[in-house]
Amino acid sequence: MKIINVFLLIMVAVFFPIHSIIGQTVNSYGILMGKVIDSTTGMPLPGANVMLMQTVMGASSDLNGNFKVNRIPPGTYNVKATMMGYKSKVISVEIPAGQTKSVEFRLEETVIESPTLVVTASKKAQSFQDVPNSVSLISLKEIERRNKTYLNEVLEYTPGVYMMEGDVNIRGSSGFSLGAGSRVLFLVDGIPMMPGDSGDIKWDLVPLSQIDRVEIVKGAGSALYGSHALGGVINIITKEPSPKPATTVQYSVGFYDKPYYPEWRWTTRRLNFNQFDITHSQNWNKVAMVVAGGRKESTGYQQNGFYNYYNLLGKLIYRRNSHATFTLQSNWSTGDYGEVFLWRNQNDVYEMPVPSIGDWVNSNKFSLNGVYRELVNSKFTYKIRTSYFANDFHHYHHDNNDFSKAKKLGLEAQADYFFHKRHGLTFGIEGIFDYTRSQVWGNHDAYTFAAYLQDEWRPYQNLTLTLGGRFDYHYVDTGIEDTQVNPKLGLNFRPMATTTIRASVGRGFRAPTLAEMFTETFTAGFKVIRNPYLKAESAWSYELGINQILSNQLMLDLALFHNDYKNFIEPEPDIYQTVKFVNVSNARIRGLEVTAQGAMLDRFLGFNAGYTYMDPVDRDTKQTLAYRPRHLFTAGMTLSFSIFEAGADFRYVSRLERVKVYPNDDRVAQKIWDARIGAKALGFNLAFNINNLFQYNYWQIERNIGPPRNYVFTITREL
Amino acid sequence: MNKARKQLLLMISFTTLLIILISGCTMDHGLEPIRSGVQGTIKYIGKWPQNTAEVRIVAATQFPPSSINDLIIGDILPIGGDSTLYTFYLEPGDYYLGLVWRERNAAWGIQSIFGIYTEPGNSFAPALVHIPDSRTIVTGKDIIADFAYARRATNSSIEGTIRFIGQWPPGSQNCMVIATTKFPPGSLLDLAFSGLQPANVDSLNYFIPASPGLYRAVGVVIKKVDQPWALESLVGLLLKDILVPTDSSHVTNVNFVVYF
Repeated sequence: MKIINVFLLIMVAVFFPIHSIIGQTVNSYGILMGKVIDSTTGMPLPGANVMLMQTVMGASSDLNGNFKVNRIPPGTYNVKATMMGYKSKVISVEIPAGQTKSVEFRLEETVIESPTLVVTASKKAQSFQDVPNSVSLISLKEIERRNKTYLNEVLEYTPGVYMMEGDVNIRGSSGFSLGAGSRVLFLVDGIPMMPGDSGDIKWDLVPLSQIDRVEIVKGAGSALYGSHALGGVINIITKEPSPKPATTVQYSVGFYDKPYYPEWRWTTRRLNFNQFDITHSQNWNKVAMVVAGGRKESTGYQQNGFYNYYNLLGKLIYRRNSHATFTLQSNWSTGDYGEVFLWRNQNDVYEMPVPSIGDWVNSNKFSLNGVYRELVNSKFTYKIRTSYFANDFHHYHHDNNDFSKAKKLGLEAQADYFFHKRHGLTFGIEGIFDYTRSQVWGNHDAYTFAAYLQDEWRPYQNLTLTLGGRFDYHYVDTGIEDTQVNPKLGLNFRPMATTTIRASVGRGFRAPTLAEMFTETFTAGFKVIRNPYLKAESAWSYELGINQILSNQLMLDLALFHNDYKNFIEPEPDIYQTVKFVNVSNARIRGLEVTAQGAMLDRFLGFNAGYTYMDPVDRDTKQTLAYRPRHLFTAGMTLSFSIFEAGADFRYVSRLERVKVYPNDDRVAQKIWDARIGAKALGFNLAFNINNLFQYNYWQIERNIGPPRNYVFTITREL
Repeated sequence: MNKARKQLLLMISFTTLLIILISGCTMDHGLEPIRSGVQGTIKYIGKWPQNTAEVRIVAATQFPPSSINDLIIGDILPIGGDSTLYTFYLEPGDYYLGLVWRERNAAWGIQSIFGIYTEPGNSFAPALVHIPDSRTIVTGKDIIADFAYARRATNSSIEGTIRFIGQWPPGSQNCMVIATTKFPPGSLLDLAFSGLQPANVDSLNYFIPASPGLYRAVGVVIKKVDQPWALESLVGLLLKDILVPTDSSHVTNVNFVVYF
């Protein structure tokens, strides 16, 4: 507690003087107002982003396309308007002191659904074209098209991303870790949401209906985010309250087809799933809010594969004035699910070994975050956030009754300061306290303190250099301490308006999770033993990429990447099926990624494709790294006509060359086709999807069969 | 929309559908059930230990398997009873069959094998089961499992170096080092095995995963080309009491010389 008090004092000492000093220098302001409209139709464009370049100021357009930026110091500014599906536009505007200036942006429609602003790569809003790393974005439209239950199912269609059951891999980073530690950092609205004990990702925490978009930054991101951001960062951006009162109701129902082979048909029941969500959004003068609740349940497609979840979400925004807001957000999810660990045998892939039938888990998650943001002047903005994340589970297994309760407290202060017209600084300090009381990994506390600084230098209008780094101090109550320094260097060069060249080098690290260090359990025939001497793993990421827009109809992106991992932490089963997390080796994953996205014929036909080649090698043994495929391929096509939309998607994950637990089992590549059709009419949004259209049978981890063909129908109605 | 454009859109839609359908029809369906295998009865000798967590049937393509990673792990069998019928689905090929026992809250190891399919009438010769094609279930492969040999996995071992003096017998392909709790051993299950070792060498370092207990002798058995393992091929023997006291004991320097 003493350490936390000291940390709070540092935060107050660092931020409040800056606030007061810089705040006092401002004495006279101008206002920028305006409208964003479609250049062809003249219709207003709601949700467009308007930014005053080289400052921290900006606004979003409202339902009528109008925007307003207050408290602008007098001067001439380049004002940029961006919106997905439209070409960005920059207008130079002179803002005199004490006056209001008006401007109109007429944006030209582009057929490419490219992202405009991203907030994850540099911990602040920046144009997609200015980012020095590879970033993929999953839009709200794409989430709706997929019509899935959990986010991890949506991520599988992102180039370079694949799942090993619950473990997400970005360009082969994570492999399979039995849910104990992810090499991908998971954020919700920029706030880390990974439990302090297992350090894995809880995909049910935020319902898909509440997600506005997802940003995926590829490559090491520890220079800003610290531990876990070794292979990349996934940031969920939740929906903002709508400008007018709105209630949305969504209901999904689906069922699983019979298994393809008659030998695998194990029940005469119609296996099904359904989901219900209701969201209400309200906006008053100074306060806006979203409240949402939902339930999802399923029989599962495997024996014992049921789940039953409830969730609540609340988001409250208080606008103190035009330049200061306070956001309070909470997520709660509770439920039970059947434990499905291994199939019975390859002739009964949907059935469990007899002793495991009836094993289940109770799981609860709760998060509460408060963020205060203030725009002090045109050059300085800061935010202070506190976060609390509680995660607990209880196994009701035939061979164990493990339970764990973990709490994570976070406190962060971050500022963005344009100290020069060509330099934008992002800096902050962060403290994390992890508290675990568990029968599986014992009672432990861990502390992390960090400070980071990044300068975005724009020596020329078309060249941005990013230099930054973060210092982390990590302490576990067993006396283990670790310090890490993670630098980052990025370059973004735009020789032409349609061409972006990017390069980056950065270091990432991941402190071992308490689960990896202290797990002592027995489950499904595997004994897991502790290793309190685990060291942090680290990686250097190098990337070179080029993004090219061709004739406004096609966007191509090519990235070459090279990641060098040191002290890789992997679960290692020994000859006695005893699993221990150990620093196995040094590894290298290099490869290339090509993505294409485009549209033709007045958007009648939209398409996307991504191919990733990986060469994942254990540098010590020269073997291919386990649980890493060599090839990933995704492709999708959408036909839009009037109120209808139809499409198909394909994803391919090549056969795993190496696995660890059952190396003698049959292994196949994943080749999955999905089909979808949707319509929007009379305020209803209807979607019908067929997943795994051609009944392809596969596993992501050994002895755990993927879902057979299934049908989902979703109806959404805004009241 | 003009007529030409409508036709183009229809053509694109049709081509897309065609591509998807052709892909679907020509695509394989990934994993499939294994339709061949082996069937028989398992006869249990002795009383089921109270702390039994599970019993599984396993297969190996080589004998002796050096670790559990060499095993194809089959179904969990019902606990209790004097005998049980089993069907073990395996791809066509030649397999050694066995049963492993696992203690509650413990892992299993190679020492946990407590039943091996042997040649009828010769409890020292592990027998190969031949599955000829992907549609055949080979029947009548009965296995006797004796709970007296149900041992938990430990990381205890007997280790040492063997020097070979003289010419190896012609046709020597491999060898294995064995330790026996009874001398002479009553069955294959009295033996603890090293992994497969090379033949025709001057010396070798060996490692035998050995459960705690008293071992009466250590020896070397040779496998000749195209011949099964047989205790008759024993070429060296160290008759000496070796005590492995605990689950984590490594009894080292059990060295001896084999004269051909």
